[in-house]
This record gives sequence, structure tokens and C-alpha cells, in this order.
Amino acid sequence: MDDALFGTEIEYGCVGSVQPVRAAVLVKDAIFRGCRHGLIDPPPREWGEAPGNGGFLFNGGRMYLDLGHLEHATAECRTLTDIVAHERAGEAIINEAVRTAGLESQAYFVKNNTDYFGHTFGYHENYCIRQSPYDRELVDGMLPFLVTRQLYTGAGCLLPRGKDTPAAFALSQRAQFVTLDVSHRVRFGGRPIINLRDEPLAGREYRRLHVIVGDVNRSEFTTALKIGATALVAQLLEQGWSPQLALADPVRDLRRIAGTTGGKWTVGTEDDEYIPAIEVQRRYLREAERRFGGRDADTVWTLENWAWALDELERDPARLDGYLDWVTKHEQLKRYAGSDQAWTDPDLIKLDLSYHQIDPSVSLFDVLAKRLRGLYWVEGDAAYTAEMHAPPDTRAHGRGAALRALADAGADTAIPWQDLRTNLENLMWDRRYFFLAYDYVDDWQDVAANESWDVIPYVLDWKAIAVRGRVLEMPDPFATYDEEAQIFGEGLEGIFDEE
Amino acid sequence: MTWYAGNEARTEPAAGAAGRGLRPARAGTEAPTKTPTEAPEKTETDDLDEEIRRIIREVPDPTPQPGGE
Repeated sequence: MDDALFGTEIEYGCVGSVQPVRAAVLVKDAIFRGCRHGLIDPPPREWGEAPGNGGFLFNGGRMYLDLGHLEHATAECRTLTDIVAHERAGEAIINEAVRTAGLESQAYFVKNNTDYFGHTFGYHENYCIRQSPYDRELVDGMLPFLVTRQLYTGAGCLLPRGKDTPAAFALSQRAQFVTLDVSHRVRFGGRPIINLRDEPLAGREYRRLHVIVGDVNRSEFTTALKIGATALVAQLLEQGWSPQLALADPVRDLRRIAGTTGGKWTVGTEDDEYIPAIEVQRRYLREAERRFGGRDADTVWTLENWAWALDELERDPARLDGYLDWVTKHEQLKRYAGSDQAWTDPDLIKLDLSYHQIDPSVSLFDVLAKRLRGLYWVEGDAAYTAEMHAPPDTRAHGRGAALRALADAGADTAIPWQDLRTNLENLMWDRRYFFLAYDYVDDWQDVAANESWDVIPYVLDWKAIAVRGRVLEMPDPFATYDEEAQIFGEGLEGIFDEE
Repeated sequence: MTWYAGNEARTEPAAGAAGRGLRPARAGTEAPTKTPTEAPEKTETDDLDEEIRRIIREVPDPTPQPGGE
């Protein structure tokens, strides 16, 4: 998609006989053992990441532990095919690691956002922008779009309400956990529709729009439409366009829409009017068609299918069975419940959960995907390729090449990362290494400034890779850095033999 | 009417970018060839029901997860 760059972060749930946090640790270790899929990142990192907490993948993404969840951050992507393929590649890498770790039939990873016990875990979308995410017009312009986007992006979920009490159904899993319209925080103090974290992980001219209100999707048609439409809306707002619409209570409308499957979706404006949520979406769609129509293949696909989905939602949401997650799941739950109009059967929750299982042997999604078009959107070859290869048109390509060179040079043998935390704690007796024991490594300059390459032989980051003073900097996410990565890789030969 | 009957009438979305068309229609929609002496064939609905019953037997129950983000 022209001038667009995006990536997603997926926190996986885990059920089975192994404790979820334990399973996440074992699977993360299996992913990086013997450099199977990438390289572990040795230093302690921001957001409480202990040494060896995660690492970068040869496909340009990152796999790590976050608050007890296994989390996959995709590589930076510029096409809808790539973002869908890289999300699916993450599922395949995890499934393989479950087998490698000997956890088959013991640990089942789940791609959803709730555990049905009142907890949520995240799915974050990241869009590269040039405007500050603090900009009031950007925030105001995004709110009505994100409140109503769930009509086609919701993953759907049952809301259990106790024994013998009928379960309710919500379009969106995340909506029930959102309490604020805008906040700098993502969890404590309230979960917002728009998160103002400005962490571009790139040069100064780039900023990051961090969307945390969305559901993770199994339907790949939905993932493509969600990313495509949101990227276009970000571009509209960056060009100065405004929807000229202010919602009176965005959080109330977000939850109200989520709780309605019947098609009577409305939002309340500050002018005390109620307007159809689908018309809100069409307001954005029409302007995107006017400005971007015919621009490039991804834009054309997004505009056509965005319009189609809104039309079908208006006619009868059931017509989107096999395309949208919430509709597909809702149809199956209704069918399974049959005459149990009260939806009290506890198996309905298991059926809901099974839709999100990434192990095909117990996945309702995979069973349906064999029968319904749209759920799988990219061909298997593209997803298979994405397991080991970065997108060809972003800096992830250079990162992937540099990581392979680093692995070939024997980086995984340069540091006993399994014992790194213990080693770092021992370093507290050495004043030079205080920052490693009690703080985090912000970037490679921290290690260089403290002359700590003997303890931290290499640092991996989104915008740089550094090895004992040799640095590959990648501030521009739109550049591939192919030539620079090749030169960097050639310089690594024998670097870990210099003891 | 089969459970997926609603799909038959719907308008299909545009296939989108080249090489990225939507997957073919569901498997098993060719014209039936059974003879009158054969036992009734299992329908796609029967197969789906069996698969769902198996999944519900085998899939673990939901368990509390750590809060994330």
C-alpha cells in the first residue's frame, strides 16, 4: 500500500495441562534453541524484560514474553499480503515449537483477547505516521472510526454470566475492557480506545500510531480489511481531512455496539443526534475512495471490500458468514445451541475458545476454513515463506539478513544466555555493571558507553543491530538496508573468536 | 437447506490484488454420483457436526490467563 507501513503485536493465551506462563517460557526457548528461527536478545530491556526474555526472528519479527504471555511482533510490512502472511507465520512457528518442546496435547496456544474469566490480553496495531499521535485532530478523527470499526473487525465472544444464566454474545472481545477514550497508558489506570504511546522505533521524522482497541482476528479476510482500512484512515487524517463528527460518549458507544448483533448500531453525537454506525464508516470510506481510489492494488482491494462488507452488514450480517469472525462464530454458536435458546450449555464456551486455537487439530476455525471461503486469505506458500523470510521492501529485510550473518558467526555460543540473569545479578558487585543489573539497555549506545561488550556481546533492536562495537543502524523503516546488511555481515566473520 | 445455505446467494467481494484471490469455494460441491443402491452418503453437515463434537471433546477447558498488554 502506497506510503504505508504497519505491523502487529499478538499476545497469545495458553490452555492445557501445563501452567500457561511455564508453557510460554518453554515454547519461547524452543523457538530460539539452536538458532532455529532467530537469535535471542541478551540484554535486559525496557518494560521489564529480563535478559534472554525474547529475541528477533529471521523473518524480521520478534518473539518474547510479556506479562506471562508469549507475544509475537510481526516484521514491518508494506502490503496486506505480507502482514497476513506474517501473522500466520507466527502461528506456525509457535505450533512447531510446541512440538519441539514436547508439549503436544499439553499446551494449546490461543489467538484471542480474553480468557472468559475477566482478563484480557492485547493485540496492538502499529501504523507508521509522520504526524504526532498526540495531535488532537488525529485523535478526534480516529475515535469515531475505531468505535464503529468493530462492525467488521470484531472477533466475537460469549460473555458467560454464571451457571444457568444465559450467556450474551459480543461483537468485540476488547470492547468490554475499554474504559477510557484516550490515555498514555495501556493497562493500569484504564484501558483506552486510543493509546498515546509515541514510541516510533525509528528516526525522528517517523511517529507511531498505536491502536490497542482492536481484536486479534482468525479470519485473514478480516485482518487484511482491518489493517487496510485503518491505514487509509490514518493517511486521510494526516492529509488534514476531518470527519466533522464528535461522539458524545465514545466508550459507551463502543460497548453498546459490541453488545448488539441485530444490526441497529448507532452512535450518539455531541449534537444529541443518533446516527447509524455504518454511516459513520461510510463517511471515512467515501473520502478514502475520493482521495485514494485506484492508487495501488492494496488500496483498491481495501476500498472494494470495505464497501462490500458495509453493504452486507446493512442487508443481513449473516451474509458475511465465512468472512468476518464475529459473524462466522455467531452462526456456529446459534447452530450448535439449536433449541437451547437460553445458551446455557457450557460447551458453547469451549466452542467459542476452539475457534481461536492455533493448533489445527482442535481448531474450529480450521474446520470451517476448509468449508468457507475468505477465512484463509493468503496462499499457503506465502505464509510458509514468511516463516523464514522477511518482507522484501522494509528494513526487516536488512534485519533478517544481518541476523543470519550473526547466527552464522556463532552468536548463540558467545553468551550463555540461559544463565545470563544469574550472571548479571553477580555483576552487581562491580560498579561498572550496575546499569545492567538494575536498569535496562535502552540501545546499543548504553553497552558501548559502559564498555560492556564482554558481558553483552550483541544487541538486537528494531532500528539497530550492534556486535561488539560494529553497528548496523536502520532508522528508516521504509528502507531495506540490503547493502549495509551485507557489509555488516561480512565484518562479523571470526568476531566471536577474538576472546 | 444446509447450514451454509445463506452463502449461496451472497454477493462475492472483489478478488482484489493479482495473485491474491479468495480461496476456491468449499470442497465437495461437485454433482453427486451415488447410485440408488448405495447407502445414504454422509452430508457435509454431518461431517461438520462430527468434527465439532470431536473438538469439544478434545479441546481443553478455558483457564484463567495472566492479564496482558
